[in-house]
Amino acid sequence: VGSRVNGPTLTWTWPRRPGQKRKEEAIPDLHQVFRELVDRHYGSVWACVSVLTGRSADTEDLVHQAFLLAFERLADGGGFAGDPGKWLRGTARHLVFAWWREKRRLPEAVAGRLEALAARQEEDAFSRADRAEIRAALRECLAKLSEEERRLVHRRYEEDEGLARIAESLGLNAVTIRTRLHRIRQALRRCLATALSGGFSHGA
Amino acid sequence: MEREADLLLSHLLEDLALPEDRAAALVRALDTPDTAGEVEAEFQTEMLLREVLAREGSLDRSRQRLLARAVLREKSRALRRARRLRLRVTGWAAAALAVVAAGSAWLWQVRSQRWERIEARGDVAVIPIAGGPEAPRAPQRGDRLVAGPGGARLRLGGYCELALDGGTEVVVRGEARKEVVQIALGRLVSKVRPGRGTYMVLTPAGTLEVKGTEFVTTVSYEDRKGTDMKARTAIVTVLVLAGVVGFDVGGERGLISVGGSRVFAAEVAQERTIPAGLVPAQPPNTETSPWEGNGPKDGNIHALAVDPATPTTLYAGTEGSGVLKSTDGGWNWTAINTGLAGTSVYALAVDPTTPTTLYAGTWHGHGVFKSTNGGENWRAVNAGLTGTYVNALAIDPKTPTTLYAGTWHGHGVFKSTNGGENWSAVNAGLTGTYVNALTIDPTTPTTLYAGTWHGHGVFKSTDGGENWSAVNAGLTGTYVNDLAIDPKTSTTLYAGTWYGHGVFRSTDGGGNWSAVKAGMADSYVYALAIDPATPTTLYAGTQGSGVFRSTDSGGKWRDMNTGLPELCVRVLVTARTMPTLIYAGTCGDGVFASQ
Repeated sequence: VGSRVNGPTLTWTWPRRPGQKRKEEAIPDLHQVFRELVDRHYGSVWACVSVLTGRSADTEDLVHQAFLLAFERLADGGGFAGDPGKWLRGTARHLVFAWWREKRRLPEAVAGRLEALAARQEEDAFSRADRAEIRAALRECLAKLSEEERRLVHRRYEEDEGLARIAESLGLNAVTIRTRLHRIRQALRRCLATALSGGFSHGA
Repeated sequence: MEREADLLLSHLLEDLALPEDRAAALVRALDTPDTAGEVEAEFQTEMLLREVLAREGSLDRSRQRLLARAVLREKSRALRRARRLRLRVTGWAAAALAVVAAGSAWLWQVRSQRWERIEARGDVAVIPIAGGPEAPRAPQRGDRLVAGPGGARLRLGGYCELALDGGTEVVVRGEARKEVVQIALGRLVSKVRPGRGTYMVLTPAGTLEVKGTEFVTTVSYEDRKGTDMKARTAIVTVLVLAGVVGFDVGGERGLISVGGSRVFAAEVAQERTIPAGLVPAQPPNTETSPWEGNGPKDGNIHALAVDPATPTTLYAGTEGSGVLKSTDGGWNWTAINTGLAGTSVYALAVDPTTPTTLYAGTWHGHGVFKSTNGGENWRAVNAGLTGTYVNALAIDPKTPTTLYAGTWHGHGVFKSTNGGENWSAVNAGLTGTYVNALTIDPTTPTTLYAGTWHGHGVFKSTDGGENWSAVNAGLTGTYVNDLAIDPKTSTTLYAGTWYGHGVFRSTDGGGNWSAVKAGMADSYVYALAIDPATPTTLYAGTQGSGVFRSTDSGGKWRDMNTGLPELCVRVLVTARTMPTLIYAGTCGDGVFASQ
């Protein structure tokens, strides 16, 4: 293993791969392993998918599809090359965009670009070591919103209500609600950037 | 964000179909870095809100439903297995099976005649094969089929369902149970039922073959303006939704499993809309050996540094696992984190004259750490370093006690002249203060370059960082991830950029830049490296298409991904004493080496 000197030229050979032949290993308890996978990654996969679908029924179906693919993989004795969460989010993202293309007839040029953007922000969001800090900061920032703004955020993100329904109940149009939410998100980003020493996202 | 893009995105996210005439406007908007950055930030904020505010009760119920579905899935798998077993062991079942098989064979024969036909639904135009009967008529094998704006569906051989997007052009070749579809342009979703026959898609770049699966093939073209108008580059994207797809493209063979995707590129003649046959595949790339690697496990690599004296000793800076060291070319790894408080290591530098001295630049407020015993122990060296999110470190090759740190979040560049013990900010003229890359002119070390983010491009200093000036003429990609300088002709340097702009080259010390990305399918470049012995040979690591290599100073690029399982490559380094050896740090699958 390692280097050897052959005359004036330094050459080097790869060592033999340890345990070259991979044996199929039995999973001690498939459902236990799967349950742990679900407990650990359900929230993040749900968050990634729901941003893109906007409706809880579709979100659940797509999230379940991604996890059931993981289940089949585990049941077949396979594993995940890297972080299972990354695999799940990547699979879910592909499923979401396949669904977008199919159901919303989204042009390829748009779908491809949005998929790349979604992949990048997911990688950024879930590879950060200070996620707990970000979440705590976001809660503090939410507390600084006005009562009306908090109510809107609550209805949109906790109750998962659609814009049209919120608008109808308030006697406003959906564009107004969308604009208000957009402003609230911008305010939250500014607040997060301040709370985290200026470091939240590229767009902050 | 541009108002129109904002409106269109909201339109999409609220489940409303995007008007066809607005798609181009949205694509244009998304191609501008500001809008793309804003969309990313919007996605991220929304995701964070949904993660934080999701009602645990409803999520928990949803989780329970999933676990119940998994139990049902397992039971149905067990039932299928048991059914197969019973059929195998029971005599009468075997006899019945034989009868069924005979019946099926008869049915198969009868239906085969029907399966010769192409069943088409939707909006499809038939352009008959030369000498064939004139259209309008039902499509036949060999006809060119073009889907209208509403898209079309084809059924082949009773087991292949094809969905064509509007504008997609295909030719159905092959025969019953050996279906072959040649796609020239557009997007094709293929759903193949297993066990009925073979299915192959011919693309301008090569072939895709499956027996039972579901996958998407997209073909588009990138015109090569100003170089060779008779040729253009075909971009073929494959996304696997179920099963496994085998590919044979450009001499490379492999498998893409469910959830995976690949992008291939090949040059084709301009005048051919539908290729008459397969475009000859590129000869296999035998100039470099396949990539090999062995971890570190789950390695999300941000930085790599090679011992200048012993190229098989290398250090990896990771996300969350601190610094790892290998003394056998990346085969075995050991964590070396004693005293290292910051475990997100974004930069590493080895003293060129005393290789046991090394520096680690970390994130999340921990700053720079120094080791004087090959990484065994570390201590923080942050006096005066107010920017503690460190992205880049550069050591003066002639005076190694002088080093520079490039930092994030608006703090710019810091300089130390006593081996990191004290730092001072050196930002006069540096308007881009989110620094991703630093590189020093090896012949005149007082000249250095900083690659910055947020549209500020490249800055140059000729007085050891005291004063900076922007050098961006011709640099249209101003989100710079990495810089590489020619060690023999130090006025030649390269910038790797984000947002689809690829690689730029300057031959006059940053005075003027020109894009050099011909053949590079992915123009989101994370990393650059130069062969120290043959500086016309360059390597580029990309966000999703692996590593590209150019042997003519960036004139033409070609991918070199054989053996590389993770195509997001964040860092590349070459070894000075062994120039053909290159290491690649990936976004989750550890470190790989190629010679």
